[in-house]
Amino acid sequence: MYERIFAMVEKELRQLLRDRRSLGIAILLPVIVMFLYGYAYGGGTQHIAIAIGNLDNINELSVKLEELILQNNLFEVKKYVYSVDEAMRAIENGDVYGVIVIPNGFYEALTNDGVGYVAVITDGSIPTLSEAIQSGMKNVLENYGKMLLKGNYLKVEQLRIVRYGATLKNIDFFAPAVIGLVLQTIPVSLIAISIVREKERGTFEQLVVSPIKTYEVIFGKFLAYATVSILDFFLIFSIGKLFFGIMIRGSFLEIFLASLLFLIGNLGLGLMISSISNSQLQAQQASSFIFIISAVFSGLLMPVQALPKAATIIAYFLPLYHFNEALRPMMLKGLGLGDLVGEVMVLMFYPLITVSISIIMFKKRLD
Amino acid sequence: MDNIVEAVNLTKKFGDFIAVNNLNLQVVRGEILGLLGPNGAGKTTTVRMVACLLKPTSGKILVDGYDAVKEPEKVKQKIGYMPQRFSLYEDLTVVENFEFYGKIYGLSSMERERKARELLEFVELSRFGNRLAGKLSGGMKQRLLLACALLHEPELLILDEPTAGVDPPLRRRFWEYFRELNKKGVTLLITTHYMDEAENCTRIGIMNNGNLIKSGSSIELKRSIYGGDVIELQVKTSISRVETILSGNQDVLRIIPSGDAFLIVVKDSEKSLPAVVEALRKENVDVLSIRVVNFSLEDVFIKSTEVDSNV
Repeated sequence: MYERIFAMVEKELRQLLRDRRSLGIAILLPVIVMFLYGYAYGGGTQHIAIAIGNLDNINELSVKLEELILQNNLFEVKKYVYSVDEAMRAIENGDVYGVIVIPNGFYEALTNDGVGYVAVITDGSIPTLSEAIQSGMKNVLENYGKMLLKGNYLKVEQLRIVRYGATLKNIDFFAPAVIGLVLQTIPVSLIAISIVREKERGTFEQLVVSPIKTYEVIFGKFLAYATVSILDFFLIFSIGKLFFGIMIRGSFLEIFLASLLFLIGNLGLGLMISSISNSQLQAQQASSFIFIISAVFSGLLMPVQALPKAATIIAYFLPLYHFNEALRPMMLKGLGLGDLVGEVMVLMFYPLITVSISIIMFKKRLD
Repeated sequence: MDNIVEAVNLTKKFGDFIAVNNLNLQVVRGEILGLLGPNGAGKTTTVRMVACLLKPTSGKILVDGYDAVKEPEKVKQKIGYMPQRFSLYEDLTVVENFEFYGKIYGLSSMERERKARELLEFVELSRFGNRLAGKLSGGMKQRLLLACALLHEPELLILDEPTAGVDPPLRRRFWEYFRELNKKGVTLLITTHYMDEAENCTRIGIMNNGNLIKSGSSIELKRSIYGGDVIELQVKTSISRVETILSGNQDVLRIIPSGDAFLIVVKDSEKSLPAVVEALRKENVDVLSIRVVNFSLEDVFIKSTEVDSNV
């Protein structure tokens, strides 16, 4: 039995590696989606919205610094602030990702002591952007020092202040939803297509006359695509973390466990689709249909709470909604599975239900 | 007789359509049984039930003593099945397909390697082991299917229209394979609608409208039309004279007038022809022409379906 299941897993993975379409779904789709959303909502590494707060008197030194910041491609000065409070508020409101504050007495300190300070306040909720602003300012200040007083000892220090702002609304808020959507789309379509393809191409017939049992075929496919989906899970989290610095405050293991339940449920859903589809096209359409509904009600486009009452009811029946409701607080607030009993229950029932229904549907169909 | 397949009162309905109607079929161990009939006669449905691909609506099938419905696993080990359509993985190579099915049939890695080599040689595909199955020509795919069906050394090989769409030289080659396998002791159950091909079978079952209407060897079936071999005779004399002349010959069963000729039905034309000629010459009858009528299976088929529709 194990040998037959393992032969099935091996065969599926080998076919996956040869099939461009499925490989595209398995690898390109998560990569593209993550980068698209990452850049769309995470802000690029150019034209980062910042504010300047020149609290010093208008003098040649501070104006020169302002000019350098304005000239730098990395930044786009969206706003001028006139107090530290105002600077903090700009970040907290999510107006800008960082504020460069030139303090009162900057000119004096620089000319008298040869050392000046500039405060760079950044939105710490997006580590990559925060880092980009800080290191960008470091360059600006170095150039500034060299330019102004050639040869003379002059140092402009940078004060790093990290502030958590309202920019959570962007990538961090969307990351769990995007991850959920990717983790739903891939397993559903991969397993559904792989089973329907066997029917469509007549290869199922050869399997049926061989001693392999239907459950071994299905379980083999299940294992193969669970493996692929788990790899995708790590792939999207790696991209999210490395490229966009998505926030993962909760335990990664618990996030993984929740995702695993969700994945298994989705594989079951894919099995259900495959048992009612006769062609790859039908399977693809059914998966797309589920994808669209899920996308609308998952909170990805609009918070579910903001939708009309009737629509929120639909959302409650969508596993993706509950997965998002679990994943978001785990990632952003650092909650654990123990804090999310309701969602965890749904995620535990989801695979149970879809897998059982698909088994019943397959049995019926084979008889 | 030792029957490897024993189907009793087999019926398969698809909704209102009765594909196979109360069929009784025996496949004798060691024979090549050809199921002959037009499209829609129920040939494929019948063999698919034997191969455990379809469950009969009613009736019973025993394969080597095992019930195909209750013990399909046992039956599946006994049979090799080659479907009409290519049913292997086109995105796997020839050898990878063998590897996969070898594992499914529980062969050890050494056995798998040996069988793959042996079978690819048998169907003359040794050079193409590393080619993707999808990149093979139509005839090569058919040969690969055959080889794969033989992987687990089945006792019964079921071939569903194995030569449909295959060019004549390859068709002949296929029949050489089949005879070679049969010599090694494999029983073959073949469906076909090529009448000429059916001549190669030890026994032919003629199917129509979901029923087996006749079965027997090619000669038996042809003799069944008139109850024996037929000699066509043209003479310038009356039927009564011919009847009198031949009345002494016990091999002559019947004489039927047919246009300006007579059809003489005999038990065995080879034995009777010289005797008939001799008897006529003794009586100085002028024989204008005499020949043995060679019936084709098509004649048998048309004749048997005529009878069938008359009933």
